[in-house]
Amino acid sequence: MKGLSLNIDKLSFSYGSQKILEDLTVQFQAGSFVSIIGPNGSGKTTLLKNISAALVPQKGKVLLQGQDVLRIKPKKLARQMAVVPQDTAVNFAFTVFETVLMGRMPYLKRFESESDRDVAVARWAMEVTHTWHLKDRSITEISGGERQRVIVARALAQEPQVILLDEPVAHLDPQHQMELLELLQTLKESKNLTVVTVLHDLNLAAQFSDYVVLLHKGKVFAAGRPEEVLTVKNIEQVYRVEVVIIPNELTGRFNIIPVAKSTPPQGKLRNCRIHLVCGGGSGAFIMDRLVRSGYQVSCGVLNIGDNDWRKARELGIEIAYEAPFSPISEKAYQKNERLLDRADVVVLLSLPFGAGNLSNLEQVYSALKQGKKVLVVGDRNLAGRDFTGGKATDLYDAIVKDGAVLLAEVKDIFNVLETMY
Amino acid sequence: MEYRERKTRWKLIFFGSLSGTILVMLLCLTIGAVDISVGETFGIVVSKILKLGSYFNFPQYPASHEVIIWQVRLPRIILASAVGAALAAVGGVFQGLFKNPMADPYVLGISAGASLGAASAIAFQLQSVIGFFAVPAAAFAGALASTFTVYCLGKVRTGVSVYTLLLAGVALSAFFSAITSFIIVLHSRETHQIVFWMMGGFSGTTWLHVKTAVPVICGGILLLYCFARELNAMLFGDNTARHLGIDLNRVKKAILILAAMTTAAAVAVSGTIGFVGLIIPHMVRLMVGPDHRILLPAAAVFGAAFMVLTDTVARTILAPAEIPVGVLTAFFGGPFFIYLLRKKKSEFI
Amino acid sequence: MTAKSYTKTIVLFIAVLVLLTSLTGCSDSQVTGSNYGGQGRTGSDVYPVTVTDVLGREVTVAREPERIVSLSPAVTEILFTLNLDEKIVGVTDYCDYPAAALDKPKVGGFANPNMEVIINLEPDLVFTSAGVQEDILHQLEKVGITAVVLDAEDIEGVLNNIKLAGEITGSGEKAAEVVSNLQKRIDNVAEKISKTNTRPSVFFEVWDDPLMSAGPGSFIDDLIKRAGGRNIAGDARERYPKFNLEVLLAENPDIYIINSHAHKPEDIKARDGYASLRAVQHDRVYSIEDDLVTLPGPRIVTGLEEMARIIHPEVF
Repeated sequence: MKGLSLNIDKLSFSYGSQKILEDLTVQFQAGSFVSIIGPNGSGKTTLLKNISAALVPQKGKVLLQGQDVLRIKPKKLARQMAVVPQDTAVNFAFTVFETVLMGRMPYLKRFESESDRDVAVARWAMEVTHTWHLKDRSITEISGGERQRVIVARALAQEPQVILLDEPVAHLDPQHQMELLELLQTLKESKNLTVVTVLHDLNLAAQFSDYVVLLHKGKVFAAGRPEEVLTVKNIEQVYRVEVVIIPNELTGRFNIIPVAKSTPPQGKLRNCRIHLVCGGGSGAFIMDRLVRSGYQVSCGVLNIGDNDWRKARELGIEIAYEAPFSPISEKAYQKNERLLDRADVVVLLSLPFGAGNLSNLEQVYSALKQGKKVLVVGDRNLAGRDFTGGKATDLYDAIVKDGAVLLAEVKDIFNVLETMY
Repeated sequence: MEYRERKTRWKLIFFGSLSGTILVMLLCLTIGAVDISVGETFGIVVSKILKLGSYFNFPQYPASHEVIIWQVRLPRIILASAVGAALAAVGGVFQGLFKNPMADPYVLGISAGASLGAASAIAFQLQSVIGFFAVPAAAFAGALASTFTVYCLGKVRTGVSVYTLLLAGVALSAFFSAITSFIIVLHSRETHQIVFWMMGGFSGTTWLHVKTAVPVICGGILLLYCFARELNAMLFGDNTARHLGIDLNRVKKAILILAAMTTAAAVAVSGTIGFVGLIIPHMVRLMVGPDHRILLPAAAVFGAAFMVLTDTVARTILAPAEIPVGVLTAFFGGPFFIYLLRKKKSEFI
Repeated sequence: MTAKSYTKTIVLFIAVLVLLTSLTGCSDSQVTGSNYGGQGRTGSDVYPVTVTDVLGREVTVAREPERIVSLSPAVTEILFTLNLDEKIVGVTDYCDYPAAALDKPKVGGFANPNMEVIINLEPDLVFTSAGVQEDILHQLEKVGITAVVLDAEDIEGVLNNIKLAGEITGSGEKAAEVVSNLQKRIDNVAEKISKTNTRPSVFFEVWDDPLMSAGPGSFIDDLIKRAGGRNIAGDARERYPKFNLEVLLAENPDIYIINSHAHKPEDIKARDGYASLRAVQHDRVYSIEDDLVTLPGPRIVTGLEEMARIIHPEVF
């Protein structure tokens, strides 16, 4: 099966007087995985509908292997190009199998019944999308995610050379998101299928695409290989959000982590520095309260992407941080050390400990030894959150024994601080 | 494999209900205001069909009974079955095309147009000018004219919008009904005749009605059936249908024309008979599912049986007086439909 | 392929149906002209008789009718007047005059009599009225039953209908006698009215809600005129116009006539606002049986006489 290329040439489309797409030119190679990304309202779905000939552009054209899609007979077009729309809700109780079998319509003459081969293709499409077990259920009864996969199966039953998908993973859980995109990738490789999909998740786009089109206000803002398009600068300009881009060794691609913009703390500043040792969201609440109350807060060491890390970024707190899922490196350790040194009070919250972040406890202990005020919050018992084979428990016990103040609840921190300052 | 079994099941459903309907028709042929025995009824039919009466020694039936069976009951039953089939099939088609459970064959203003046509013909005494068939012909013309108007109103830049069509149908129906009422007010002498026509029924049926309307209706249903697969795809939305390779605007236009012709032929010879086109498709959908490849034939067959039965009740229960058949279709159809809805409890069937 | 054979079967079935339909269609000419009953009897010399009925149809009656069905109360009345009651084999549910008509077999309502029952009565002549019965007429023609349309819009028409009915049924002499008697009664009324010089204004209430009267083209309007009255609805645009209460009060009729089946004169006097009407104040509210003034039968002359007596009691 040969793949087909798509050539979008000076495409302009508007609903009434509202321009949606403006003079848009972009090419997709046969057998490539293309992601169309962009913020809401940037024209992604409209572009897809223009490509699939569901909408007629005012200017420009869409060429499928050199042929204007509007001039290809609908039946022939349906044999070359399949579409998975965004909204797949159905009101009529067709069985899942009947629904998928409809994908064979472009191959049937009027009154021709589905042949064994048609049935076999439909079955194949259902098996690869893991929907075969649903075959006798009614399309109205299955879940949104299941229905999404059924509609993908119907599109695959069309045996297309190009498949257009509008946010195909929106209703899917992570496992099925991966399975579906991996399936498309496999089909791209084995059958030279051209995959054009609208995606909201930039990470998925980064992970699977050969080619990314970033739309902004109806125009191509950037197009090219993922690493060329998905840059911090591009994303910040188009989505108006700060991101961090980190290589992902598991996928060989990279991860994009959005960061909310920092907001200045309120209230008068107090001359008191507090360093939080937190993680997994244990510090998010107190962090916020402390900043609002005017304390100068820092925290560390946190892994990027951790809830506490996000909150700290949001509050504009100084952080000693480390890459996701990575053990604390020398650089982060040193940064944490500096923050600890500067702090007047160190607060240790109840977070789990593993080999990766045990150094946090060690640093708290040495700070205590150096005479820092240390507050320990929460359950003394580490049994459920010690993944270091007892090392963390030993350190913890030592900290408590050597003079740290033990507090039952997070809000008690304020009582202590009020009496001190 | 299960898929083949389904086709076999479809065939069973269709031919089973078809035989049932033919039985119902034969049964209804033996029932009437005049008591004619079953044996005599079929004797008359057989001798008429074989035209052997003069060669073989068939018992001599009273001439009046022959006329009753052959020229009153039989054409009436055939016409009722054809009209029932037409309304039910078109109702099924329109519910799919408009994706609207309230759609019936009259949504595009067909009944209002036909009524206007008939009322005009009666009011302006067209029968005396062009003969007896003036009224059905005017009704047919009115039905087609209203559908065409609605279609033109429903056309938008990208094709035909079913929602605009529905709204245009409602608006045009109201407008035409107003004109019809005005004609009735102005021509009080013909009021009775116009209102009687609008109530609908089969009491004046002759073979001429059958010969004119039945071929159009049968052809229409048959051709509509050709679009069953497209209608299935259209239930998933216009875009999906397009993506499955359907030339949507051409198919919609063809379906609208065929449905309008079929309904117009039915309405022209029977007036406006409600509920059949709304309820039978829903009932059949509950039984056989939404696939138009079985839904349309089954709806046609069930519609035929339902119409023949209700018409038989209409012409016999108060014999020699007759009840308008539309009263009975609503009387039986309404409660039964409510029962089905309560039982099913799904939002849309 | 399965679907193909499935389709073929349907096509075949429908083809058979269509074929059957056209075949049977061809055969109906054979039944036309069949003649039930009456065979073997000797008709009078005048037959066959050819008449032109009120729709302008030329109808030939081969021999004297022996089994007559009347689909119109007025015609039933005419037939009884012509002493043809023995030959009447069927009437409608609405034929209630004379009382003997109630004992005749019924063929259903006026607008939709039952075709089967009519045929089963094996009539050799059916009288229908115009308008709503034209479908029935068409069906009768199709099955080969002789049908004659009798209907009238004025008194002359009624007299003509009586003559026509007599001619067809072989009772021409009796008809001439009846017509001559009726004509005498009509002339009598006309003569007495001619002696009066007032023309009281009259309102005839056909229906109370909505208020309806009788306008031009109706018997009532004709009778009021012949009876020496002035119909205040006489210039309406319709035969039975809805009548505006304000206009009624403004016209203030001298005489108010109602349908005896619907109301009593006392009801009218008791109505709100009616007390100011001259007719009520002078106690000139009367009732009249609607059949006498609406049915195109011989009793229309009785209606005329009653109307004249109401409007000009001084000359009767």
